[in-house]
Amino acid sequence: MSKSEKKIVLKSLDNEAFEVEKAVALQSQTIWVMCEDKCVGNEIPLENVTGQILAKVIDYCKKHAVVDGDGDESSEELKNWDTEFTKNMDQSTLFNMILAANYLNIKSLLNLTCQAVADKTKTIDEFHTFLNIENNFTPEEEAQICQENLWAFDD
Amino acid sequence: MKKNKCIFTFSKMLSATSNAHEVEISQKVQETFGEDRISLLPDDLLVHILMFVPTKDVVATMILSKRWRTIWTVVPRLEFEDIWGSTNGKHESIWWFLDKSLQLHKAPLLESLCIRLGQKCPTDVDVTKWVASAVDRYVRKLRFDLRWSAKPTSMPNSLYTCKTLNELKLSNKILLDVPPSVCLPSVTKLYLCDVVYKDEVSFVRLLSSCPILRDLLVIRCKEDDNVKVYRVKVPSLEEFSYTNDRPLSHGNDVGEIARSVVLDCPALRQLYIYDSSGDSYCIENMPCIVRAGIDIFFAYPDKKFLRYLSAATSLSLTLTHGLVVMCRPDNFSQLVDLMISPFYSDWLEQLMLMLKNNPKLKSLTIDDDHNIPLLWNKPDHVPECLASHLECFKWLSYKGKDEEK
Repeated sequence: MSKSEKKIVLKSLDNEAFEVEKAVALQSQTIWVMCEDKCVGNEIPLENVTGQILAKVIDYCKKHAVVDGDGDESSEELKNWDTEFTKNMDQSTLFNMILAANYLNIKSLLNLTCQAVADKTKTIDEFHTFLNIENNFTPEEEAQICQENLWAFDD
Repeated sequence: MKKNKCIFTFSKMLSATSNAHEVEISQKVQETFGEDRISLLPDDLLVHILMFVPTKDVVATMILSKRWRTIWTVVPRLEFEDIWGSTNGKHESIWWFLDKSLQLHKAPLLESLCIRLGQKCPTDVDVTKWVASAVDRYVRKLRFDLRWSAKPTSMPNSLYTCKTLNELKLSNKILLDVPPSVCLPSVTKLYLCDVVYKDEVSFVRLLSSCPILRDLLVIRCKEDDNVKVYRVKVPSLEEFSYTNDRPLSHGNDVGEIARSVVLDCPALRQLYIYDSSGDSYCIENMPCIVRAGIDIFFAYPDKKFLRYLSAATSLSLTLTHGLVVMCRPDNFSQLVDLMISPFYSDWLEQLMLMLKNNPKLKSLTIDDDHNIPLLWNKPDHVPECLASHLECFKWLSYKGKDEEK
C-alpha cells in the first residue's frame, strides 16, 4: 500500500475537508463500508455531519486508533481522556455528537456520548432543564398518570 | 398517604422546571439553537441514552411529556438494587416497583436484568417469577443476588434452557438444582458466588452445558455447598477465578471423600486461586497458562501443578513452604512479572534459587504482609536476572529487622 492510499479525505456537510489516516477513519463502520464499496474514491462525503462536529469525531478516533494500535496508553488514561472529552460539551454539541456517532456507526463513541447525557441528567428535574423538554401534558393528564403509576413515584 | 407523596414530588418537579426556565432563556440566547434538541433524536437513540440511566429514573421519564410517556417500557435494561434497604415502607415499594415495571415492560429483547435484594427481603415473596419473566423476554445478561434470611431458593427450570443468556451471575441464597435438560448455548461468562448446589451432579451438569464458556468466577460458600470434588472441566474456558475462604478444618471425617478441586481446562490462559480451606488440587489439563495468581495456603499443590504454570509470563504467588520445596530453577523461565507474598520464614534463599534461570524477568515485587521474621545469609551467587535486566523492584510492607531501626 502506497503512502497516499493510507490517507483518506472526509468532507463535511459544510464542505470542510479533513485528511486522516485510513486506520483512524475506519473505526467508523459507515466509512468502512463506503471504502469497501469501490465506487467511492479517496474522498468521502459525509452529508449529515458539520465540520465542527466532524473535527471532534476525528479527535476521538485519532486517540482511540493510537491506543488500540500499540497499547502504549493504559485503559485508565484513555478513560480519563474520554471523560475530559465530553466534560465541557454543551447540550447541543452532545446531541450532534450522538447523531454523528450513530450515523458514522462508531459504537464506543455512541456509548460515550449517551453516557455523558445520562450523567448530566440524574434526576427528573435535570431531564427537564438540561434536555429542555417541554411538558405538553395538561395538569389533569399529569395528575392521572401520577395516580395510575403510584408505584413509579413512590420513594 | 402515597398519593400525597406523589403529588409533592410532582409539584417539586414543576417548580424546578419553571425556575430552570429562566436560566434556559439566557442559555438560548447564547446558543443559537436552544430548542428541545433531544426530541429531535429518534426513539432508538433516546432508548440508548436511557440505557445509562438508573431504572428508577428511567421509569420516571413517563411524566416528562407525551413523547416520553411510553419510551421507558422499551429500554432493554432493568436494575433493581435494595441491598442495604432500611425501612419497611421502602421494601414494600421495591416489590411493587419490580412487579409493576416488569408487567408493563415491552422490550422484545431484554439486554440485562439485575436484581439485588438484601437481608430484609421478605421471605414470602416469589422472587423466582422475576427470573422466569426475564427468561421469557430473551434476557442476555442476568444478575441475581439474593441475601434474604430464608433458605436458598431454586431457580425456575426455564433459566437452565435459556438460549439467549450470555452472562449469568448468581449470588448468595440460591440453590442450583440443575435439571438433566440443561442447555446454555450462549453463556460466555458465569459467576457463582456463595451459592449452594443440590448435589455434585448439578454442578457438573451446569458446566458441561455451556459449550462456549470463557470466563468463570467462583466464590465458594463458607458452609457446605454439597460439592466435595469441584470438577471444572470446560474445554472452552480461558479465565478462571476461584476463591474458597472456608476455614481450615482438621482432618475429614472417617469415610468422607476428601475435598478437592479438579481442573481440566485445555484452553485456560488466566488462573487465579485464593484458597485457605486446605482442599487439595489436581490438575488434569491446563497447558497454556499465561497469567496466574496462586494463593493456596494449606494444601500443597503437586509438582504437576507447578509444571502447568511454567510457561507463565506473569505470576503472583503466596510462597508457602510446601510450594517452595517443589520449585526448581527451571520452573519459570518465561517470567516477566513476578510478585511473591512469603508465608513462611526462610523464603529469601528459596527465592534466590527460584530466580536462577529467569532471562526475561523485568519486575519483581515482594509483599511481606505476614511480617514473618527473615532468615538471611548472603547468597554465594546473585541471580543473573537481578544483576542485569530487572527494571522494577518493589518491596511492599517491609518492616525491617530490629537492628535496622
